[in-house]
Amino acid sequence: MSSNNQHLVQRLQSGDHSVISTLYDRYGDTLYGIVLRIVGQEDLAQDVIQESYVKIWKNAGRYDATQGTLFTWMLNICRNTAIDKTRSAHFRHKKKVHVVDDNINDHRNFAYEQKTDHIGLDEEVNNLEEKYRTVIDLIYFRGFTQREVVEQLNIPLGTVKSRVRIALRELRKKFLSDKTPLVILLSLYLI
Amino acid sequence: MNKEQFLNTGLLEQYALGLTDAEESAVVEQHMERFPELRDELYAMQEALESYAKQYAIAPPDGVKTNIIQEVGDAAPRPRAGRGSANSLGFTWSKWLSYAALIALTIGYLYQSNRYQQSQQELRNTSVALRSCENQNTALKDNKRIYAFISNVETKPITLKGTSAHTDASAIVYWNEDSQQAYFFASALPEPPSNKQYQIWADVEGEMISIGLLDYQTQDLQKIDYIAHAESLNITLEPKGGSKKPTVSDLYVNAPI
Repeated sequence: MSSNNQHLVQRLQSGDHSVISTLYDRYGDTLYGIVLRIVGQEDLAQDVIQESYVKIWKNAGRYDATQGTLFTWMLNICRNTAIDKTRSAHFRHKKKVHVVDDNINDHRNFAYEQKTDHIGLDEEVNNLEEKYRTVIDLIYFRGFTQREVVEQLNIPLGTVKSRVRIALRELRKKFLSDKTPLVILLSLYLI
Repeated sequence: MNKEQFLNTGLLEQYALGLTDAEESAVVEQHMERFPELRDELYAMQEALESYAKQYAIAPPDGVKTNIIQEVGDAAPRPRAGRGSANSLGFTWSKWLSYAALIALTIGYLYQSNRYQQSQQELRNTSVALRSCENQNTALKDNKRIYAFISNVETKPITLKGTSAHTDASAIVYWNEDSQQAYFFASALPEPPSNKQYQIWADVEGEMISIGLLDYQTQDLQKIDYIAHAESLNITLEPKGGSKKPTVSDLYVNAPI
């Protein structure tokens, strides 16, 4: 993990209040985007984010950097809070059925996907093939277990597992190599 | 499992996504402990997922941040300053009474919330002190365990002597066949350059097996892996993070068991 993050963790675990503002600026938008996709309602998503950040603050001592990045840990808290909320709101089941009906078959139907105004988002996301994207979205964004993915997509567990592996490999390639072409172009330009 | 076999299981990917059960997680954590580069691999995967998630980022409304900061900052709500007094001129007794009651309530509230904040502060101080006690307690327990280990009659101290290129170097390993444990103590190894690290190897039937990467800075005994039927122990200087095979030209100290 970057030393920058280590510094953030240190501030969080030593009880430095100001770190919450930094963590919000850095991760708030990304976490909100994911939570909104789980709960589907803006006011509910805002409650979830609020509750989650308070939990992050209160449970800071439980974060263990040897088990993964700070963002992953924060996302877990947000996702669990979101899933609890939808469960208590009695619409998890409904929502899941909804997922099968529309979203799996036509990913663009995700209610909030279109709201992002990153230029070229569609191209970027399309770099990950549909079948891998579906698996990652269900697991990473929605907190499905592999068994649930098996039921949802009606594919064998082995296939789910291998898609997870390939998806992660592709994502790593994509996000690590992102900067390389730019560097090459720049150095060519300088020569 | 060696590193390649482990990577082929796909468990690290599953772990990165939080899909492993307790048993599988233990296996992953064990391997990350043994091959620290696997942990970098884990971080890289999770960072890639994070970058992926960023594409779906949506800014929440401004109020959310304010609420969070307020909730985290102080559990007790701050009393608001009183608003402008009423314009009506004719004060009746009932109005006087209600103002008096309001003032009394406000004073009571301020007093209570002040006391509440004080006790919150005390609670925070106490929990900080408690945490530091707990840390000391674990450190003490660790030391006691190490002491018991060294004073055990079955524990054999092995002095690793410097090779011809490094005659001044030496190190001690405490080896216990009975409890199958081993600890290392850097008695006299030269300080490694910042990009290098000492690695300790056990020779088992002619094959060198890594049993630990040594942290030069630590003054304490370090736990290393115990391997049955080891014939000798060898310490080499390797690039930071360790190597798969020992760099024989950089052998510093060794000893038969």
